[in-house]
Amino acid sequence: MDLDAVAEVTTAPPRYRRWLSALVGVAAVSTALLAALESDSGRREEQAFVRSSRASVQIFAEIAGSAPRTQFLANGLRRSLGTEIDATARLLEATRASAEARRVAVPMSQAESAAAARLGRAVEAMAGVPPDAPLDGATHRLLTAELSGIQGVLRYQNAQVDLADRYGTRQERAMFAIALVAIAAVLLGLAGLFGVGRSGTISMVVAAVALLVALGWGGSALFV
Amino acid sequence: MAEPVPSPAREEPAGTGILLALAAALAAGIGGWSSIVADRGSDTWHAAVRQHVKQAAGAVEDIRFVYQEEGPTALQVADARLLAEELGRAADRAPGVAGELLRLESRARARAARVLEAGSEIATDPRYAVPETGGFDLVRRLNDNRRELPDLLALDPDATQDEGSRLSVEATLLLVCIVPVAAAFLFGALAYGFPWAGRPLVAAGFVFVAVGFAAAVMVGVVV
Repeated sequence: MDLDAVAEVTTAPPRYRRWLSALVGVAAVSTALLAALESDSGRREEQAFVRSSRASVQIFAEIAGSAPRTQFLANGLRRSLGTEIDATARLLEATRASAEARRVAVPMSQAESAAAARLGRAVEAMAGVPPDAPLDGATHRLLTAELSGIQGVLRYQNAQVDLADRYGTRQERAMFAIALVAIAAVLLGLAGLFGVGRSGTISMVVAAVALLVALGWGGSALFV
Repeated sequence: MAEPVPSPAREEPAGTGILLALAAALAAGIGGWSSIVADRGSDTWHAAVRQHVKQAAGAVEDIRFVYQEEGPTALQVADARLLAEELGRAADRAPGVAGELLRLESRARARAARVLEAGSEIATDPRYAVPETGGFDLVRRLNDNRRELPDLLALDPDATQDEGSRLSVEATLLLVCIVPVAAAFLFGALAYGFPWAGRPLVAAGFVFVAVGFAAAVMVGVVV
């Protein structure tokens, strides 16, 4: 740049200077607005991804955390049922046995049956989790998780991924708009250097168009 | 060699350059501040995910240990005890050899229960006994196991995530504070293009710089 160029700009006609200064100011404000939009969209995207990741962890933990208790209950009831089946089988076989054998088999069968019933109640109590159980909230939630609740977490996770996609698109649009503003700023600088004339006017007009497209593109991000 | 061109007369009002420089410096400062806050917010969110994984892994392991390792052994003890009790009652009601056989079987079950007890902390600790059912309080046992690692129990990923969200909001608001500063830049530029309205424009520019600065400070203090 030489002093001739500076002289040309500073002595440019008022109309040229007005447009140049107004476009420079608009570029500055546009940059601030688009930067805020881009940054905010990026953070919201990240937030949605964090929520989605935590929901994935929660789904895994609820499945893994609720299964042992259910399995314990099923195994315990199976054990109780096995004893009850033994008792019934013993009673049935006793009818074909001698009187002496029946004197042992029948009360033994009754004892087994009573023990099986008590074991079933004990298992249900051991596998139960009262609402006021002395557990921290996270463990209580895992222990008592049900399929319907897990499906709700899954829907939430999917919604967060969709939200992240949406904010990702918004961020990309804002970034492109910022790039256009940067191009416009360079062209405005060139227009200032060129001064009044064909090159300067073309630079300024292209810069104005770039700014307009940038604002339109950035504004469209809000409707994604 | 060309003759040097004399500098043209300055037409923009006094203070325009200072306004533009101040606005640019303030915008850069607030932008940097916002960037630092946003980075902290991002780190805090990631910490929330790590805490959640740690918390969930700890809880799942404790649940698995109680209901798949300790619980079944305790249940074997309960089963043997209950059968021993019922056989003992049947023996009391049965006369002669039948009663003896039932009592023998009852004692055998009771002995088996005692052997099994040795391998079960739940069955040997009276705090976990539930006399009403003959079973054991596994929830209480689980709670005791959870409390063995208080650091793990103290994790609160929800609170950590909320803190990250707060920092994110602060970062966004700080960036919004740059908008009035950019408007100040706009006024400064317009003062150059519209010299006849230069003084009010420059004055308005300084006001917007002050507004942007005050808003940024307020965001830093309040949010």
